Amino acid sequence: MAGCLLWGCLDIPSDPDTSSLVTSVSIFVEQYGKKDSTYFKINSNDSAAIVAKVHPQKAQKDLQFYWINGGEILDSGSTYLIYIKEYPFVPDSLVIVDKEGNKIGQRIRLIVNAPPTLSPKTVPADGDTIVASRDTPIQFQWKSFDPDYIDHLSHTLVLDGVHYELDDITSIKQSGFGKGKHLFKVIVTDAYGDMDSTRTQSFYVIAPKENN
Amino acid sequence: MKTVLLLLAMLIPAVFLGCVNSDDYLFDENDARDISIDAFMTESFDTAYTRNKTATICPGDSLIFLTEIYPSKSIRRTRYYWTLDGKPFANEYSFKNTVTEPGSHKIAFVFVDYFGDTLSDTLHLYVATPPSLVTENIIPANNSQEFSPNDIISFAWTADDPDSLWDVFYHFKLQEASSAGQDSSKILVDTVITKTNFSYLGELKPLTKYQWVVSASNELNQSSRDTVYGTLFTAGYAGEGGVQGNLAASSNEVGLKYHLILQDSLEQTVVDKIQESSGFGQAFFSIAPLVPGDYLLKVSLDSYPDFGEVSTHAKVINNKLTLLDTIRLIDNVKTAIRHVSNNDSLDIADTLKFIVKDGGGKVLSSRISVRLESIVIPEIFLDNDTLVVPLNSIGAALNQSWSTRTLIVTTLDMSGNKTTRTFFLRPNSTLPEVIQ
Repeated sequence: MAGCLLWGCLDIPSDPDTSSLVTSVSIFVEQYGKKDSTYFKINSNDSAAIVAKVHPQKAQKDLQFYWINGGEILDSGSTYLIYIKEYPFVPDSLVIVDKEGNKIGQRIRLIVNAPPTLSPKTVPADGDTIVASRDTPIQFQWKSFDPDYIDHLSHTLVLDGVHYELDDITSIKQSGFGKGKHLFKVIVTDAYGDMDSTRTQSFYVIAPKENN
Repeated sequence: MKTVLLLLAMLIPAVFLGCVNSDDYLFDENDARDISIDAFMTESFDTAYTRNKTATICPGDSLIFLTEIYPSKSIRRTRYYWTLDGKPFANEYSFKNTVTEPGSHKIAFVFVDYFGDTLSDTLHLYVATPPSLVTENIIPANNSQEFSPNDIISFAWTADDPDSLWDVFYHFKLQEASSAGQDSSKILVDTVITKTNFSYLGELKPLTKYQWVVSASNELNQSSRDTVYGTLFTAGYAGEGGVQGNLAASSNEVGLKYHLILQDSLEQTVVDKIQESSGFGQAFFSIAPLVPGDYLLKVSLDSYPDFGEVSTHAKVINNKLTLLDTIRLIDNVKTAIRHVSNNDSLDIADTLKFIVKDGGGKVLSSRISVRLESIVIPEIFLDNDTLVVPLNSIGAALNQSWSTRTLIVTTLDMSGNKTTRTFFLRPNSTLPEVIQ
């Protein structure tokens, strides 16, 4: 009897502003059929969805989900669909409200990033034949583009299987090529790790007939 | 009676107790001795090696861990042990061990004294693999030619940082290779960067050789074992070429003046110049711009005819610097030694004079020795090419000589050619005169 009394005293009622039903909320983004609950990264070139799931799951149907941006409600429902044209107006928080008006709020930090792209046109072009002796430098040049503009792009030139980290260099001369077929490829990576690459291209080196 | 005995039994211990001074058992802090501990790392038990609280090693390298206990290791204690990042590491005062996991580690020595008080000393050990450079994978490849002097030149190299825990720095240096094997070059860039590439935006000289060097080190000051060395050559402005190379003479003499004559295919002299060596017979030459074609290069040391002339063909190519193998001038001619009279048989005199001539460089008195049989004659000296030998400096050895004596003059020229010439000293006395 005394124990029950004590227990009753210790059972402090929930904060009226906090949902008493929901124990946890998990949020993930879904794009191209892949779920991401770690980086919350979305490719801004395509539609995506942000999905909220609560535990226990049976509580989900009795809850209201509000997707917020800058204090304004963008939409409601446990799934928020992002269309290409909506970028960068994406939710920065989610508020879940139960029947009693209790609320749970969660901040969302989405990375909306457009991967960099490389122009398929390179120097040398795929299949080019170049007249060069072993000590003649051959120009390698390419163009990269980042739709986000502000990203720093890093380039990797793969020459005959050797990777050279070139940072922001998009034009470089290399020599030492013997006669025959050689392979090269360019990879561009942005600050978020998104990348693009040319396909592996080949060029052929032939020795000059006369050296003067 | 029993009561008396009982009283006595109670009184005797009381009396003894009264004799003991209880103050003797009170704690006096003046009698206490502080206990302290000190832990170190070192490479050897040899006291000459420094003992450190912080150290950096490569994974697997051994270190010796030492402790010092004050006032002594023999004081009463409960236990002592070492921990590595909080986990048991050792139970000895001193031991040799290694740590293989890269990272920053805390190694603590813990000492619990007799009263249960705990003392500890912590060491910091960094275990790291130095960065490495792949010397063959560089842009531009070694000995690249035809770089326009006005173009931006980008350099790139490949490096490996196996731990990926430390910041890696690259020391990049670009310099004009204006002399062979010497550091008098003009440095264009000398910088430390964090990326594996560098773009040089400045202008370069046409038809010139440049050298670039990269070394790597991490934030723990561990340096790469290898250094990247690359050379590149700039093109000419209007389709010219050039020729470069090193000159070497067998002489160690400083300041040799090489005479270079470059003739075209019509045997017309295109270049006639003197190139002075910068030290120990070595010199670097560069002749540019030149019209592409075949040339003949003649090199001689006019002041030293013993070296002779060396000729070599050079093919000058459009926009390139043709690199010639080192042109070596060799002096095989020995020093000429003769007496002023041109005779080999000489009369004994107070002073003898010889003419010493060498067409391969200066003759130094320090490289000449004169012996009367086995007796070294001191105080010889050179007056230009005249060697003065004061025979009287060896005392009475030749005062009365009844037999022919040999005088041996030996020289070593600047190219290492050794000459030995023997002269004969006629008797200046007869045997009977000597016996008298």
